[in-house]
Amino acid sequence: MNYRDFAAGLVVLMISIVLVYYALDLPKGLSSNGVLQPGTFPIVIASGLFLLSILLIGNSLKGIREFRFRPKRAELLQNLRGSARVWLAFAGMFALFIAVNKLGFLVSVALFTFITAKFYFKHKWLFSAVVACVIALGAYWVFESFLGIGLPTGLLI
Amino acid sequence: MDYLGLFLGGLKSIFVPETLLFLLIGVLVGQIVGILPGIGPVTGLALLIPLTFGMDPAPALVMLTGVYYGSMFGGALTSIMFNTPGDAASVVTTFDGYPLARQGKAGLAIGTATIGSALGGLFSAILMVILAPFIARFALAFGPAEYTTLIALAMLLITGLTTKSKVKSAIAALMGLALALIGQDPITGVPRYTFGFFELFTGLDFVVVALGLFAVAEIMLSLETYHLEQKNGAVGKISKIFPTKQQFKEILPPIRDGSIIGFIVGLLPGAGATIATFISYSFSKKRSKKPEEFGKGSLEGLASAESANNGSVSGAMVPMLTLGIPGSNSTAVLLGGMMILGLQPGPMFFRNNAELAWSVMASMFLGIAFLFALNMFMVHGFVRIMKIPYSILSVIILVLSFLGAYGINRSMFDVFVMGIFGVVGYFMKKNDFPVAPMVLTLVLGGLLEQNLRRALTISDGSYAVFFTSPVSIVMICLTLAAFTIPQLMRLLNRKRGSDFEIGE
Repeated sequence: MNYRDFAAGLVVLMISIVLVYYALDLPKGLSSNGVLQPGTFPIVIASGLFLLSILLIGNSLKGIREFRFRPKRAELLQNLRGSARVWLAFAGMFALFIAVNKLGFLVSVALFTFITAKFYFKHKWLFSAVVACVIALGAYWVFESFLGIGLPTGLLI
Repeated sequence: MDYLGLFLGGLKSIFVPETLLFLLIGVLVGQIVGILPGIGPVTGLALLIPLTFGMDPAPALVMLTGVYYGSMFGGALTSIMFNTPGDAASVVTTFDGYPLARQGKAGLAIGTATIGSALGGLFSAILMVILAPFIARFALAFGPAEYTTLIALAMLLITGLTTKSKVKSAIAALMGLALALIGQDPITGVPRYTFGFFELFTGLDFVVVALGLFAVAEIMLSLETYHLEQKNGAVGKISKIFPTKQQFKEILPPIRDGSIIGFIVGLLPGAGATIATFISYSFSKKRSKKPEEFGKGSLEGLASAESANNGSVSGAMVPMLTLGIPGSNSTAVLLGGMMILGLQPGPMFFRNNAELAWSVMASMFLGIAFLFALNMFMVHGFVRIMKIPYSILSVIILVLSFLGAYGINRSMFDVFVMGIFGVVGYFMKKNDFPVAPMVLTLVLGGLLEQNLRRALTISDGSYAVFFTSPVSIVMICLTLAAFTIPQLMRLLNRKRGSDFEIGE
């Protein structure tokens, strides 16, 4: 059994059910003057996804009794550590987006860059501070002054 | 029309200081994104598109195209020096490039790769200049029915050629189509899949999705193994760069073959540079007088891979410019960039924006010459770029992605959408779902539905409209062939007991 494909198939199945549910509310088929209604294409695509997700789940169940992939303990720990790093990075990224809305671009990006360089990548204090200032001010200058694209401002800059 | 005159006109129009400057910026950025592992042409293009806001279309498009083919040049450097391909298309370059570097011939390897890239790029650019106007003129006769069948064929090829798992590939393609449906229906105005978000009424911005799927997801994926990749070091010093006269003679035939193979494979939607390099490499190995050297530091092998890699660029540009159908991720993002500039690639592009179309094609010749000079004489500087810590690079890319997504509509909603697609892209890559079919069907989905509906409206709802024109009949036959031939070949291979499959 391929657990990854099984889980992925379930995710796709859920998405397809949501898509089918919404597509059912839209007018389908052909109108009297031959115009394809806005719900026809969505229902075809959503149904296709539904069938393919079932196929993926079915394929993943082949050889259900044998474990196709059994990682060693050390390898498993390493994978888990890697995944944890990624989800932490994603959390940091979304925190940056929220912070930009509240505090403004310059301060948020400077803080984000400093925290990432110092605590995530373990660079030295001074190096992290310099990198944070250069990236935040550089990006701010290029977009605000050079390209004239106003960046979000919150409580601060 | 006198095509030579049009080409010379295009060449003349790029000799403007502003256009020349942006061409140089484009190829330089392309070279750098090609060098830096994990970035590649798609991310480079997506990051640079926001900088084109408010620019004239000519310098902007020349710059974006420069990023595309510039990155193909840059990819060879990391493959040779670090045995780390900058993108999938540079994998074959490592086969002979890295062994050459280990033998103390890093300079010669870089020189050969540069000559292969430049000649491959130039040769296929000539083919593009010859072929593109004819295809554009032919495509003017295409109606909605022909376009529908053509797009369907392109989608099937994209789905079939990109991965071993056809089910996952088809899921990715349908996901892309579903994403293309988001927004108000263009004919009736009915909102579809907007889930009550006003911002989704105009649909998803392609560049925002591409930034999430490529830039953000790629960074996150590389963070997983970041701590394991710190010990990689460059091999060998760069000394002699130019090959001898004899060596040059030896690499010319594989460059010729690689350019042609690259161009032809580049024309096919979904095939792209990676497949081109593998085919060209095995073809050159078969034709070589010294096949035993392949994989151990063969200059012929290196030249064939690099010429095919660069040859595929012009090939991929042809359907994008003439039919408005991108065949790869990079041309899909390039197409998105053109739309942001207010341009609509396709048959009418050559009629309505003839000067611009010819300027872009002509700029490729000059850009390749720039790249050749840069790679031959500034190689030491580029090697230093590889020493930028990935930790800093990843933060810079993330901030640039943020700015890219925000800059399109000045909306934080787009930034969050990009973040969500970063998660989606990470999930897809972790579970071996190919991203290319999703991106390409997202771009083509709207066109497919629009043309299908137009064709049915014209025919009063009769599906016979798809079987009346010779062009659409040919497309349907090709679609059926694209669907059945791989299955038949697999069956035959199974009978013969071979594991080889198309695309492997």
